[in-house]
Amino acid sequence: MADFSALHVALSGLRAAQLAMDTASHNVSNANTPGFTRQRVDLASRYPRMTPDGQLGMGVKVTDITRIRDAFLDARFRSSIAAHHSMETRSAFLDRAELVLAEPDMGISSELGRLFDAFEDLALNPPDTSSRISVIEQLGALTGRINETASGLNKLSHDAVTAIRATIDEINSIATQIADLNVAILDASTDVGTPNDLMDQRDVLVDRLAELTGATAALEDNGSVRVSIGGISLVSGALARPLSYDETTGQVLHASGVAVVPGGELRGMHLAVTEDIPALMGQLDTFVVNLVDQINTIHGAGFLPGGGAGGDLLSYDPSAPSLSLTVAITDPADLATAGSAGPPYPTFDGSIADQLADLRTAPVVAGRSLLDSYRAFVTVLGQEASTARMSADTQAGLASAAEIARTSSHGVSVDEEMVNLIEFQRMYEAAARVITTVDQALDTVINRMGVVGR
Amino acid sequence: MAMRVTNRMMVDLAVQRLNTRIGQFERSQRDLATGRRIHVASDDVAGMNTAMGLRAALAANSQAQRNAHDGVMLTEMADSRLGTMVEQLQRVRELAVLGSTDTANGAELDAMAAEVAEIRESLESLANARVDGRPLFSGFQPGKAVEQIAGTWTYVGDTGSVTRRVSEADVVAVNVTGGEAFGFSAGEDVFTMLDNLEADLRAENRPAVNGSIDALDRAMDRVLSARSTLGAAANRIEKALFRAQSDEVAFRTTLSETEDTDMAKAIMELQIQETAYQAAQSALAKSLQPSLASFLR
Repeated sequence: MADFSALHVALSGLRAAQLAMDTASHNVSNANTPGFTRQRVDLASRYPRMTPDGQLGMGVKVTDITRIRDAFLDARFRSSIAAHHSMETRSAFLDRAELVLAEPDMGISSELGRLFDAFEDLALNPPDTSSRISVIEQLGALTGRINETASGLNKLSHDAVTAIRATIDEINSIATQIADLNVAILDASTDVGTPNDLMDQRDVLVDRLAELTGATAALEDNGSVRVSIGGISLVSGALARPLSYDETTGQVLHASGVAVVPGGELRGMHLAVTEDIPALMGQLDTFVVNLVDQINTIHGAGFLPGGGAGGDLLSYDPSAPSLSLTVAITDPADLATAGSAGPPYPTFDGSIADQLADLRTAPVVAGRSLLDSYRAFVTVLGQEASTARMSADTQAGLASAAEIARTSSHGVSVDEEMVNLIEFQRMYEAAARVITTVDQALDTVINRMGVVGR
Repeated sequence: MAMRVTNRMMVDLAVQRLNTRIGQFERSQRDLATGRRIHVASDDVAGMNTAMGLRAALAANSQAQRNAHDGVMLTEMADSRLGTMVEQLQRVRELAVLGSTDTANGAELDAMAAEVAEIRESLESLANARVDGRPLFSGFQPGKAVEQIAGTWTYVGDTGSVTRRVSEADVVAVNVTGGEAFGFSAGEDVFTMLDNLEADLRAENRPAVNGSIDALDRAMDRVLSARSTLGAAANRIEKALFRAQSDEVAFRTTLSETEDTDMAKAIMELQIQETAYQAAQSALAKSLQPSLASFLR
């Protein structure tokens, strides 16, 4: 009590309690701020003072105000959110592809079925003009439906490319912001602390990059963060290297010219453009080629009333069969229904129309009928879409669990902050009481001592 | 250590659960409102595969039934024409029997000859009968079946066999050609036969009239055998039609089982989803309310 150091000790307690209450107040205010990490005042006892009686404690000091953040939980969250968004995006494209096919009610299979009906009606009454017209109309309806399906798939692919471009723009913008934040954080970091709130902002951006590209982040010694996709650096210190999309090769390119294999949403879109949609289009094209081949071959073996052989009923451009499929005849008289030329021409011979109708069940494509081969195409897509949806759901569960684990560690609990607040309020009150007590002791020394006999 | 639960976490989780609930609720409602369990293939891949197969089978089935009805109509039309022919040929035979005896005098034979000529005309129009523009006895040919060309009765149709597909594997011939039914292919057609009979009656050539009776019997046999061919075809078609109709019921039942909503189950499901959704809402309302701040003073 020689130099009343207790006053200074109590003052350090007052200041620490005040800072702790300020921090609790900051935490409570940000309880609903996205990406906010709760902060904590780190306290340590001050260096003791040597006295002849021993080492005397000198109160408390605030060593730092730190974020409660776990880099491991962040990494786990980011990898799971990337996997989730990759699957979710792919699943969304497959779902849309299913809607384009419009099975079982409005799709190609029911138009194909109606075409076979029309052929059978023609076989019942070959010279009947209305039966002939309805065959040509139904051929038109079928080709129209196939064209629509193909252009629907094309549109889907086009949408995915547009989305890839927009996503890459967003990725580049985020990468630049992260690089800027790296600089700002480096500038603001001093011996006595780190800019916690800037770091939170940066973490939010890194989360978003992980969602979009499956990027991973590593904290460097100087406090800046290095972001890379599949081992290729996107942001390093103050430098952001932009990505670009090469539409001809379908590759995502890094500024260095290296092709990047993205994760996250970008991967889902990329898969849709490079694999899923081309595969569907390929299967549709194969179906169209088989269909045209079968119908034209049978029709070509038939004879027209003039005795001439039947021409092609359907035609397409080999470079894009399903998109370019058209009906090759417009005149009902160009339908060859008879199996022989005559003369006399067998007007009521509908054997060719009957053979065309028989394509409904005839096993002409690798042991399967045309309808069955188309059905296999629809069910394969359905299987893929269903698997993608289930796997997206599973990934969503994992991502949600990772998010909970992370929030559990760094989120603000208002109740907890209330407890902290009370704890430090009491500490403040106690420190204030110490000051009062010392003050009273001083009062005793200064005003009451040496008054004996006065 | 127990998990630290933050306020934001509780809100996020509660919203996530609410979304899941309302998603399931919506799904149940959609199944009920549309009456369908499978909307796209990925809802139930195996079910969709079955459903598409059944739809195709149903379409083929309904076409087979239409073909069968058309086939039955054609055979019945042809059969009734041939039936009339048989009756008329029987009348001709009676006339021939009468005309071959001495009881009939010249005037009566002339009357008989006139009747035979009329019957021949009637037979000609029956042979050239058309249904809905389709000749019944000309094979694949669109025109008449029989015609007198340069004074000779000629079959101008062909041997085309008109068929109807009445099931996936069953194709039935539904016509008889005039060539067979009227004796052209056997070299003694019924029209020339009647022309000769008419001439013999007018010439009062009783032995010749008598001699034509056997030929008339053969002509009648040919028409009768054509009728039985048509009858057998009609029989086959009726059987196929019956099979197709019972198949249709089976297909429709299976299709409904495959892709339609089980109403009782769906209504119960909807009720459960609604309850679960309300429970989630009330849990959310309760869990977000309390805060330590309310109890501190």
